Parts: sequence; C-alpha cells; structure tokens
Amino acid sequence: MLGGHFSKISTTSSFNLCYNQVCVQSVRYARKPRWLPTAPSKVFRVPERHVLPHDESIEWQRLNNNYRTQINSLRRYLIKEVEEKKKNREMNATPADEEAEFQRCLAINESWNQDIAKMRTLRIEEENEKRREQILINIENKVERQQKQKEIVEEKIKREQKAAESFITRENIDQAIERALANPISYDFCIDLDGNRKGDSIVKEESKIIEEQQQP
Amino acid sequence: MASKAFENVKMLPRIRNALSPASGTGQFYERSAKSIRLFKQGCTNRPFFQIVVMERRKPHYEPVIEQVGTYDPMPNKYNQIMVSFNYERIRHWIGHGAHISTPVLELLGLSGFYPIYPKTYMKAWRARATEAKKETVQESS
Repeated sequence: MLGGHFSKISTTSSFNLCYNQVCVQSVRYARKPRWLPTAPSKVFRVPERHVLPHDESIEWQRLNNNYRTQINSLRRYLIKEVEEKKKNREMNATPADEEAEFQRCLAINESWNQDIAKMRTLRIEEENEKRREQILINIENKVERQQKQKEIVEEKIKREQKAAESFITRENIDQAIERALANPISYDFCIDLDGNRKGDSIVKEESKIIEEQQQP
Repeated sequence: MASKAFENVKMLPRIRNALSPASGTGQFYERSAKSIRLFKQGCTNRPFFQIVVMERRKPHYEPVIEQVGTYDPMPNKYNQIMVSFNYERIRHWIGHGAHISTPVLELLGLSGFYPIYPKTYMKAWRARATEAKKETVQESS
C-alpha cells in the first residue's frame, strides 16, 4: 500500500505521492460486494446438480417413511407417559402421603448418616493413633538432639577450662613480660613449599650485621 | 415448567449471568417450542459439545434450559468417541413436545434410544461403496 507508506512524507515534500493517481492502489476484499453483478467469468456457469440414483432414492424414501412412523409413535408414547406421571402426581398428592414419603426419605437419610458416622469414627481413631505415634517419635528425637547438644557444650567447656590454665592474668602478668623479654622469638623466617623452616630469622641476621659493624 | 429454583434465579439477573450458559439458567415460556440440540463448547481446534434443551427460537450462545448430555467428537486415546445422555430428562422433554436437531437424532439413533436415523444408513452404504471402489482399484493395479 503506497498511500499509507508515503502519507507522512507528503506533509513536508512538495511532490505529493498520495494525490498522484498513478500511485493509488485500491484495497481488494476477499468477497465480491453484493451490489456488483456476476463476474464475467461466472456468467455462463451452471452449478452441477447432485442427483440421487433411482434405487438409492427409493431406499431413502422407505427409510424416512419408516423412521417418521416410528418416531411419531414413540413421541406419542412419551407424551402419554409424561401426562400419566403428572396425573399420578396430582392424584397422590395428599398431605398424609407426602408426610409418609418425607418420613421414608428421612429414615433412609438417617441410616446413611449412621453408616458414614461409623466410618468417620474409625477414620478419626486411626488418625489419632498415627498422630500419637508421631508425637512420641518426635519427643524421642528431641531428647536425643538435646543430649547431643549437651555433650558438645560440655566438651567445649572442658577445652576452655584446660586453656584457661595458661591465660595471662593480673597476678602473673609481670612474670609473663619478663619471660617474653628473656626469650625473644622471631617468626621472620623463610619456609619451603613443604612448610620446613629454612635458616635463621632475618631479623637476627640483620642485628648480627649491625653488631659486627659497631664492634670495630 | 418454571420450577421454584428457576423463579429465584429469575429474580437475580446478575447471578444468572455469572453462571455458565450450561447451568440451566435460560429463561423460557412454558408453552414455547423447545429443541434438544448440540451446544458447542471447547476451544480452538478442540470441539466439544453439550447436548442441551433450549427454546427453539433462541440463538445457540444464550443460556440453556437444561443440559441433558455431552458429545466429544474427537476420539480419545482408546480411539473411542464419547457420548453421554440423561435419558430420563430426554424422555421428559420429548414428552413435553421438544424438537430434536438432526445431529442429536443421529446420536440418539446410534445409542439405541431412538430408531437409527436414515442418514446414518446412507453414510454407511456410501462409505461401503467407496471402500469397494478402492479395493477394485488396488486389485486392478
């Protein structure tokens, strides 16, 4: 569709393609409008008429006749049946009868309810039993869990108590300081890939060098 | 046949419209012409029909009076085409003079409630003829 495509351009350009008759293209619909005459290619077309073969048409007629008769009789029978039902309902509709019918229904309903109540009590008992078992299992599990936790905590406390012996407190802080000064430890050394210590600490060596320099 | 429940529904058009068309909420006159016909449900490429009772003059998308069966034209995994009928209600509606549409007549015929519809016989003998033609062509070739 050229018209739609060029409509935006046409507002700015002096040469308007939209109004140029050469570029106008009509939309083609799927169907011929009602007001147009028969297409020239279809004017002399005669639609083919389907004809039933003679024997088939006779058979068709016979079947249809039978069918109609049967249906009519069936229909009449059903209509009569419905009418009779209606009549019976009207005739039997005394209050006493209705009451009796209601009582009968009530009795049936009662028996059904009893059956279902039995099933329900059984089911609830089973469910309760299952629940009781589950709760007992849960309690056991909980006790076990708590026991384990207790053990872990006790172990931790023991470890800490053992470690507390070597803690530096207010009483032994002077001794600790003296010990530290007396035994200077340097961690400034090399290790190889296996973690083995290689040579002395660098700090020591440096101090040695300084001492040597100072001595002479 | 305006029952009490129907009267109640009639009072509340909003509720009636909220219900699905097959809920039996269609309004009807007692002595109007009824028809038992297929009511297309399902979706694109999946046809499914309900067999319903409606007023004969009403278009197919309006609320129905009652659903009396189903018809699934697509074969299931056991290659069965499933049809169900509520014969008791169909008897009742035919007894009240309801008309029956052709496809439903065919289904009723095949189900044994009604005599076999003539069109079913015709379809059968035509299918047999085409089959015979195919066989002769195969033999000659």
